[in-house]
Amino acid sequence: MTNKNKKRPTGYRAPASTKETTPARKGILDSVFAPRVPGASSMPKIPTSLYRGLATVASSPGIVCTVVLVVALEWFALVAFGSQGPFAIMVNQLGVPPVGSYSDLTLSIGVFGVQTGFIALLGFIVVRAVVIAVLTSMAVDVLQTGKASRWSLVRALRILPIAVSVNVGCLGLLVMANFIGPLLGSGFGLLILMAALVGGIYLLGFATTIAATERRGLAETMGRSARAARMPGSGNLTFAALYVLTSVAVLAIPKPGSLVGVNPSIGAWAIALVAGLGHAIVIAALAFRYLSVAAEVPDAPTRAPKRAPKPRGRGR
Amino acid sequence: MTLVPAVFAIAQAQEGWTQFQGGPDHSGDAPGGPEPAYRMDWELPIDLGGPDLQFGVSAPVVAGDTIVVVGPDQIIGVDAESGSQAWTVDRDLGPPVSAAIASVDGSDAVVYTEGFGDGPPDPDASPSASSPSPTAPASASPSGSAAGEDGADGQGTFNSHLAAFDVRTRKPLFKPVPLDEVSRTGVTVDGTMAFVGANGGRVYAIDLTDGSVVWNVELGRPLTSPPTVAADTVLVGVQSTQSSRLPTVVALDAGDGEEAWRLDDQGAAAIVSTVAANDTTAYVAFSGSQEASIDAIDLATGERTWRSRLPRLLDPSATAPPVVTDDAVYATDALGVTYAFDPDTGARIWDFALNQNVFRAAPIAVADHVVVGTLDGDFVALDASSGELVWRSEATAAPVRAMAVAGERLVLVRGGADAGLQAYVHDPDGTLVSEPSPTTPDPGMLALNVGIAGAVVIGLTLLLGRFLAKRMGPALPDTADSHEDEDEISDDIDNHSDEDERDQP
Repeated sequence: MTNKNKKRPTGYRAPASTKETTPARKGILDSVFAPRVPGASSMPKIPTSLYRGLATVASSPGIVCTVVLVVALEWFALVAFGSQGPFAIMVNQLGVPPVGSYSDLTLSIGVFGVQTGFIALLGFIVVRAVVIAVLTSMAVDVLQTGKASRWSLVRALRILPIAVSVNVGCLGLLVMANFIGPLLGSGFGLLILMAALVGGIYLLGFATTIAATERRGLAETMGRSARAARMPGSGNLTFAALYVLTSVAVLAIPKPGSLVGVNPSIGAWAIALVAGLGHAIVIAALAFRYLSVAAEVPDAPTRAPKRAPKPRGRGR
Repeated sequence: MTLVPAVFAIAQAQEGWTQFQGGPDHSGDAPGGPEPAYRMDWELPIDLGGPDLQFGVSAPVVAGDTIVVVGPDQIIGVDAESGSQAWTVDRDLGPPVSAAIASVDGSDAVVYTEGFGDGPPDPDASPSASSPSPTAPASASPSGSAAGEDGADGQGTFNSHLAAFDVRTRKPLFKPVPLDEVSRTGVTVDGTMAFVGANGGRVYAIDLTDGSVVWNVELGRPLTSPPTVAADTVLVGVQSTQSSRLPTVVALDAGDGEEAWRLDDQGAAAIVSTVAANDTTAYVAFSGSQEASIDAIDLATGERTWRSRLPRLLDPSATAPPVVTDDAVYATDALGVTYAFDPDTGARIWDFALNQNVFRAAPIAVADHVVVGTLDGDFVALDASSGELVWRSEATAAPVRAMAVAGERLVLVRGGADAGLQAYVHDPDGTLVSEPSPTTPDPGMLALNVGIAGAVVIGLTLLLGRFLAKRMGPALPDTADSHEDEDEISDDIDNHSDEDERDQP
């Protein structure tokens, strides 16, 4: 017996399918720069999203314990590799890419040096991708069914390639910002970096949720994330900017764990764990925002078919 | 009969702390110095001087029982026993960088640089602009010069010199030797040869018996740290520039200035420290914005024998060299983390994180301890073998700028509002402690702290979750889609099971 014969719940709505409307193959930039859809979306407001994110995380022992375990294990691993701290950088270790990617960059260069650090960064990318995939998958399950289950981990495997791609893309964005900033003059560096952080979350913030709930290719997932972000009246840019500013502020303010050392105090641990939960709340909020409007996200525009070349020299 | 005092004088000058970081090798090692704990023996306030009163005094050097420091416009001799000012010798206003003590014709001589070239940072505030630059006691200048209003020396030449005077008589040894640019390196002496670098990159070797320039070599890039002499080789750290982005260590033959080898940094460093050396190996710190390293270089071949990376910037003033002893090489970064390395392999033996800024004050090795002075004004002693902190001074408002060992005294140069010299001696009644570095993992503490913090955070969060779950309904009105995955995966499992059953005979 298979589950195919299961009775669907009342009000079942088939997931949005691209088969009906999508035709021609398109590039990711076509999706990103597609014209805005007129009219306001039903994207939840930012406070509502965060409130729902908080409820999602706090009601799931799986997510809460995962956050605590990941922060603790990552710190132990860093110390084993020779990190001297400060521990305070761990506040952004569960950050949504590229906020988390920036943390990876700093840590890998700090622990392994400039040259080896870029190679070690590959390891950091994979670890971050696994963590983001698991947290997204669990958040989606809690949002949809009320609890995370073993299926969350299975689904995380499906998200993993997209999560890796998002991390790599965000890292590329940061590296580009690092090169472009100084070219524009002193003082622009920080501005460009902030723009890259906000832009990365704005455009790619929904990608892992899309990967968790829909079966799409890499380009289509990225494009759909960008199109969802650009839905009118969604406030996604504000959401991304608020998140980045808060993350930077939390990193910058003086707090326990800001000194060189590998034995953080209880207070330092508590702050890092609460910050980790904050990032998980943002992951859940992003998932909630996307799932709320998934049916409304426009499909990618189709490319006009190439015109056949006009015959030359004849029929004048 | 006359040979004995001369030999004694040479030994006296060369065994003590005669130059920046001890001797011509700048190893910073004083095994016979006082052990911790310390108590203050005396202090001598020395007001800041120079334009806008912004210059303190240089790192101290020791001539017998006299401590010698260079101020912006005078050289000060201090009695090591009492801490009283024994004498001063005026100099042309110039960067207050270390002098060196040489033994010339059986007498100790102070060798120093002076002059600000075309003009000091603020010529109007220059005391030497309006008065001759005399020797002690008052009028005759060792340099025989007076800085003119244009910064020249009154003879129309560029005002930058190397000069020397006898410690006992304070009379000049020879007519000052003109340099082509201002010198900020300080002087290094090996026997009767003095080595000094000028800002633009020229290295001079000067015979102290007659003041003649034996050789000079143009290296073409800024020199900011004193040359080092070991195994008849002069080692110079050459800073990076816009066109030459890698700092370099250049080795010159001490006899004729011929270049023996040069070694560029292989990382992303911007500055190179003073070189420290023993008989076979040179040790140098390269420092950049993202990382730093301690490099060991074979003196004979110029090959890098090891490189040990550090995660943080080292002293950005580029003067603090590693400390070299028989057992280890020590370096302190700008955040006050002191590292001990195996001198043969570069393996890190220990590190100690002070979490206090260290600037310009090179650590020194004293009697099996490493002494580190901080910008906060206190200084600590670390056990050289274990790396544990064994003694800490009381904090003061005056940052530690440099340290030296004068016999049984540890001499500190302090800056800031309470600038001056302090001498510390061993305190037999002082208490020693044994404090491990915060960078040493403590598994018990780690587990306990994360356990407590984790339990509290998990508990409170889940309590909040219960409260929220009661108040809030389901997140999404339609949740049926979520079972699609389970259905699909279950389908796959079932299909495989069916196939397995069919395959069975």
